[in-house]
Amino acid sequence: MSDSTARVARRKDMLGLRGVSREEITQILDTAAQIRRVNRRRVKKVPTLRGRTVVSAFFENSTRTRMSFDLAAKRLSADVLGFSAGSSSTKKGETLMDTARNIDAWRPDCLIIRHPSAGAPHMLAKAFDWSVINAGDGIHEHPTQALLDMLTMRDHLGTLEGRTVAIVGDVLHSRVARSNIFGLTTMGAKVVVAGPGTMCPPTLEALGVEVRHRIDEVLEDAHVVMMLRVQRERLGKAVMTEVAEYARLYGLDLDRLQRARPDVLVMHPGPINRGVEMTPDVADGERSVVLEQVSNGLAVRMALLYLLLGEDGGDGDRG
Amino acid sequence: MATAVEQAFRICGARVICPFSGRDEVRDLHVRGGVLCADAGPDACVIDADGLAILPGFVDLSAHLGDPGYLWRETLVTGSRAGAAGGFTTVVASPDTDPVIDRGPLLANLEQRAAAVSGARVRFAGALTERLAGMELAEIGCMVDAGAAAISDGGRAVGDALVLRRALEYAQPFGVPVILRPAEPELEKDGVVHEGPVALRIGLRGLPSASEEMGTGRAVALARLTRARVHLHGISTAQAVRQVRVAQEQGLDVSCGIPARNLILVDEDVARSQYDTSLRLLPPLRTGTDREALLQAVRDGVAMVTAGHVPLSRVEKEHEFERSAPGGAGLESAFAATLTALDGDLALVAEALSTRPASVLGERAALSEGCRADLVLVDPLAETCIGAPQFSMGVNEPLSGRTLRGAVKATMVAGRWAFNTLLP
Amino acid sequence: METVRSSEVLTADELQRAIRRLALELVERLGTPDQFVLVGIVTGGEILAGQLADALEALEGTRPVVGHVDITLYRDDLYTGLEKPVLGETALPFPVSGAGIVLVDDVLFTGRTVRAAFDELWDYGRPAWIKLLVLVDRGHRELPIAADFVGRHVSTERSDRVVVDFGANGGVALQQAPEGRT
Repeated sequence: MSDSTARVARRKDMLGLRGVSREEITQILDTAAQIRRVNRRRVKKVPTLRGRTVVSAFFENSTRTRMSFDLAAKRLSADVLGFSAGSSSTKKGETLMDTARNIDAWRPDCLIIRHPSAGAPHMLAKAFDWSVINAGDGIHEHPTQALLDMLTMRDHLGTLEGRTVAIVGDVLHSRVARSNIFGLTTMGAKVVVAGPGTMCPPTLEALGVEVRHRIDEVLEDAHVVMMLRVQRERLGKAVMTEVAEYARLYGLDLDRLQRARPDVLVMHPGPINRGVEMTPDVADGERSVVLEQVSNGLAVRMALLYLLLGEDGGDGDRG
Repeated sequence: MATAVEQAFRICGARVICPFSGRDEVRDLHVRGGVLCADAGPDACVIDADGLAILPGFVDLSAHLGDPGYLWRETLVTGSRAGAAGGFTTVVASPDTDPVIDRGPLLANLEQRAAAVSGARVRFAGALTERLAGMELAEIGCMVDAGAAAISDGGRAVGDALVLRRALEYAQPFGVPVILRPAEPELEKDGVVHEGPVALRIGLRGLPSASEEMGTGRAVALARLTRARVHLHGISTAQAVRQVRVAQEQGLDVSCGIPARNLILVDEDVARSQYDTSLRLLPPLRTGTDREALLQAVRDGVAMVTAGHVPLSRVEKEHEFERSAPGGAGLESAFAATLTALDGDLALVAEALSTRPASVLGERAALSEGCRADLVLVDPLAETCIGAPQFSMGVNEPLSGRTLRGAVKATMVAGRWAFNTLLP
Repeated sequence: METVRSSEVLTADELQRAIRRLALELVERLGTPDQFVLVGIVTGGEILAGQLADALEALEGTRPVVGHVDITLYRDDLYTGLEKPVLGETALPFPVSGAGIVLVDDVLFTGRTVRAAFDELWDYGRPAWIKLLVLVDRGHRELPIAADFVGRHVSTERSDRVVVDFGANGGVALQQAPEGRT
């Protein structure tokens, strides 16, 4: 048997893609690309994480991300414990740390957390010895979404180096955009963002991206167009005008798509507001890789669980 | 305590620094009957202060003492002790209490209770508007008569320009300083850290410098209009100190105080700390450029330094960054932070922490014969490793873990030792 | 650096001869190459399976179906170190259910790798039968597993390493740990 080992040292947590090296991102994507085979088999389960306990704590509603993480853990044979804000005592005044101390008493191996406040996963990662995976913290980061996006891009483009990715929408308040910007720039891709001034202010350049205000200015050169979800109900005062204006100025339709590269990839973190971010014929069209994103999400989360979950006093020898 | 006032002390061998009189020399300091005198007499208790420095007692113009209503954060007793341990001889308690200090009788009652504290002298700022709501004026006149040292809306910024104008007009004839936090409340909603590249990167919503700039601009313009005495508490940006500098050059009675920690820490420290909630502050930590401008303002006499004391309990700080309460304890670390930031310049520290804030209260912080014996003995060469506050009930020390220059050894309030590590 | 004592077990030529002999044995005992498939365990077994297939093709004129399994996800020692093994590829280009499988690995040691490979194969289907072929059997079994086809038995210390190089100038070498170390 070969002695090939990981190229990068093991980390305890995945809190965000900022500061994660190109080698490590490559390792995660490579692992995800291999681990995908499990999902295509008849028996879609491997014993890798047998006996491990993974707790998923979602303090914000999200059915899909949560299901994806749960399934990823189950396919690796981990025991999964779900925990959601609605059913917990957080609404009765218990602090996040109190809740975490309770979870800690169950001796988990990993906590997957989504939380409306930036830095909540970091706080737990500092305080406890189990692994923490950030499944979205406020407007900060959503690393697994960016990793699945990058895996999807790499599948089609071969490499991310030198590719141009356009991100359209509310970049300022998007954790998906932030993680993608950190990851993609690390991998050598060029990121151009476009959106209204309230969503794509010029200060975004500090993140290493180019800022444009018309979707047509970013479409022509882009290998990938990533449309962000518009969540009007969540936006603050006076961030956005009528939805119709947004759709007209920043929505992607077939007409606009025809001005893009013929092999452009259309991506969206879902769920799509059809008719707002993109028209149905684009969302379901041949350039859309939205469903590949979903299946790669499962693979990326399996890969991360495999790479993160820690050592124990196991019995050593192999051969 | 009454007997303590009659006690006499001869403090020997210290470098005595009094920016007010311009004297800075090694000499003995005599105290009798609560005042500085030429000779304390043969029965005076002799204190060897060789190698130490004596500065006029520090004065803080706006500290949260939590009393009444937030007794888990601080009380008059603990706040007074924390002040003395930090070298403060006078601490003005801000009116952000429950109930708000917005009436004469409440303030008079607090004055009575404060007479019994054993640490720093505690005085009170009465509210500018009722319940700090920024709508109706509080009982400013009655509170001044009851002994209010200042009028202030504490940590709240008055959003309505007309209310602010009227408040300044109303307070002006009473001669008390009006302490304001310069901000534009609508621009600060949801903000938790300085708005800039760091906030963008770590995904926290920003408090733009523009808010402080607008608040300062409005306060300066209204000070010009009403001729009120305005003190801006918690200045943190280069733009705001520039505006204060211009206002002072034009002869307006506008002063400002900078939290000592803002002379040391910057917004990048929030990122480095991985969302340490003790760095959730108001005003927030700003950029390195801001810090340089703040330091220059202190050196030039434009600004003074404040402890920015907002003690909070574990329950209020042990939260997600955005949900934790803003504020940091500061009374016990302000001196070391200021001395470190000002490169050991004790005379400048005395101006920043003693002379200038005392003058806002209309007092002279001097070490001359006949003056009230409010003084602090410090060891300028000591290294202090800052930890959690020892006397304050607050757990939130933003400078925790840092080693700073200088330590407070003893504090004397009107001839009485309010804090002393030198006596056997 | 401490010196590692290395002794040659098989030269490159001897290794190739052993492969040809193993191919012959397979045909003798299992029949023509269309009656079984070769599944190499990544990475050494994968190379060996390829070379065996070449030899069988030269011998019989038909090439057996070849697949490979990466058993990383089935290992029982994943949580012992700081580094995680890199995931390799698994490719089984035939229906596993009902197949006659010759599992191929370069070195047989504790038997744990073979155990993991069984588990993985079963998750793809239910094979008709499995035979085990190894180039080197170095002993020290920890599970009741035995090879059906063995290129060479080598007596080793537990701490030794057996290094197989399938290249033109390769061969099989036995590396002994320095004196006083186990």
